[in-house]
Amino acid sequence: MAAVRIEGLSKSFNGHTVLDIEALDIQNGEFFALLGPSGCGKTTTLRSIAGLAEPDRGRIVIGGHDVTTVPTAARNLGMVFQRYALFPHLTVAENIGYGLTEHKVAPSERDARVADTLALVGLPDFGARYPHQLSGGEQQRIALARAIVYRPDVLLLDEPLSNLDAKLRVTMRAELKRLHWSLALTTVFVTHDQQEALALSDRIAVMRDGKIEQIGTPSQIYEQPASIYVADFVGATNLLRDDGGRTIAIKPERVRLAAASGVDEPGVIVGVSYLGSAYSYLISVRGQQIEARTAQPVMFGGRAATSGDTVTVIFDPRDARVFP
Amino acid sequence: MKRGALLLAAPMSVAVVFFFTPLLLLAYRSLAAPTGALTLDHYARFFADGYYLGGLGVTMGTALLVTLITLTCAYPVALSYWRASPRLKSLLIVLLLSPFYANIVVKVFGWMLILPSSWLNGYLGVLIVSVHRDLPFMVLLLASAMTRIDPDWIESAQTCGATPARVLRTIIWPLSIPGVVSGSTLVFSLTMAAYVVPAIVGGPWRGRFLPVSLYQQMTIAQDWAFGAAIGVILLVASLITIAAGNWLIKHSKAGVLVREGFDA
Repeated sequence: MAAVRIEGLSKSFNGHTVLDIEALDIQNGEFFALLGPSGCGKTTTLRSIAGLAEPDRGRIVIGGHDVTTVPTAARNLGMVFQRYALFPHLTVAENIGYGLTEHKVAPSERDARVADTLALVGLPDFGARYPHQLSGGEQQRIALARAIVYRPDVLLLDEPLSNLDAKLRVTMRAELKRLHWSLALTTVFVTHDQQEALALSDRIAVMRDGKIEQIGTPSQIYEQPASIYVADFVGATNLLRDDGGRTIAIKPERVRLAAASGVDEPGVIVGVSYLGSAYSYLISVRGQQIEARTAQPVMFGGRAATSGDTVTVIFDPRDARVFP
Repeated sequence: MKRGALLLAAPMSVAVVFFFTPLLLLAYRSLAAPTGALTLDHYARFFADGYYLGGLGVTMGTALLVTLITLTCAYPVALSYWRASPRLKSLLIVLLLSPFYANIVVKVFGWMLILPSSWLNGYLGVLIVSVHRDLPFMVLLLASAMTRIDPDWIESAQTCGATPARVLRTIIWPLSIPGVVSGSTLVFSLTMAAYVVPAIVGGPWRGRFLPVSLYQQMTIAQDWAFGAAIGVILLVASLITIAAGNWLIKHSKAGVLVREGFDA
């Protein structure tokens, strides 16, 4: 049985459709990402699941119960907000214990579960502090602890990593994955960061203008994009026009370079960038630009390829997607 | 820093000349015997006479009562104002400030048309008119404190399972305490020092209010020294009550907000 089921959900704002989802099933224990640029409807979808946004039409079913008209407080959800939204007048322990009190858990059990959850998020001695005394990463963990302590049916995460610096974001990604694995909690995650979605999720729904463009596993989304939009949004993708006016999508790491020898139209390297984990070559061929990425520098006759070199661009047609 | 000090100099000098100097003169007057020597006789007379001591009780008790009633009436108004759409807000602010458009005397005549005249000629009259006068101040100070409550906090509480009543009790009320304190302080001081309202609607109670007694001492009894003593007592009582209120708040649960500022 699906943990969350969305049917015919739609919402308009000033005559403009902001959300239009025919059907979406999120499985039990799944880590599900809603991915898309800002304004694509991903946050509205999450807020509709939470009962914080009221859809014009449609049904939301959580754990087999139709909750469309059930108020937020009775949906038994955990939610982490983008800016964490810790209660400023309560200590860390009181923040985490808040949901337990509202769920009528006895004080003795509440204190024990707060302590357990503090340990789970790696901040066992933080109970007596106030939110303003915490760093961004610590607030993040406490917000997560507050959302999971009462064992919600579904955990909702609204861009929880976007306010952290790059290094902390990667650490917290691993942390989220670990927590999800140990709690087996159905998690719906909203993000505009395709890398984050690919790294964390079991499945991803790519959204555009309020509609779901594609649902699939990270590798399906990445390797077999259903549209030019998905190909372009997920991963840096080369989009080339062929003679028939069709668009060919090919990932830069699937493009190989060889020395130009007896080809009608060789390409010319117009730029080389070192990305740390890869080398990126920008090649101009037939008036179009194509990027190739390699783990090792491309060598021509014992020297590294550089701007101005002529090259042959090679890729396996099976790696490319063709869109009419 | 230096520029700030310079900017402060002008208003500070106005305050010194027109506020602190008269206050000091008043304090001096309350301590001066007819011979010119310093004496505590006027204060001794005040505290020995049950009539004046009772007056202090009536004045402070009424100020406290008016503050509580005003707070109770203003809180739901402030909540609605805070949650209203921007368009409704601009309409509400006009309505809210409407009591300021008319002089207190005009307002009292307005009340006379609505309420039985016996209500307005006595203690109840003082309560009704004081609350009406103070309500806009309280609403505005409460609403300005509420604007600092992040809607995300309310939604977080809801997802944690809090019903609207619980959200009000556990989130909105404690986080609006700074506005409750500033609004109550203002209303309390206004009511403590109010002369016009008890004088025109107080009926038989009017002389029980210290500002009216003070006026009577100075203008009718021509006893400026005793009037000055009443003034000083009124001021000190007001300051002590406000300080006690602030102390209580700072040492309560919500004190962390007042001490730290809650969006730190």
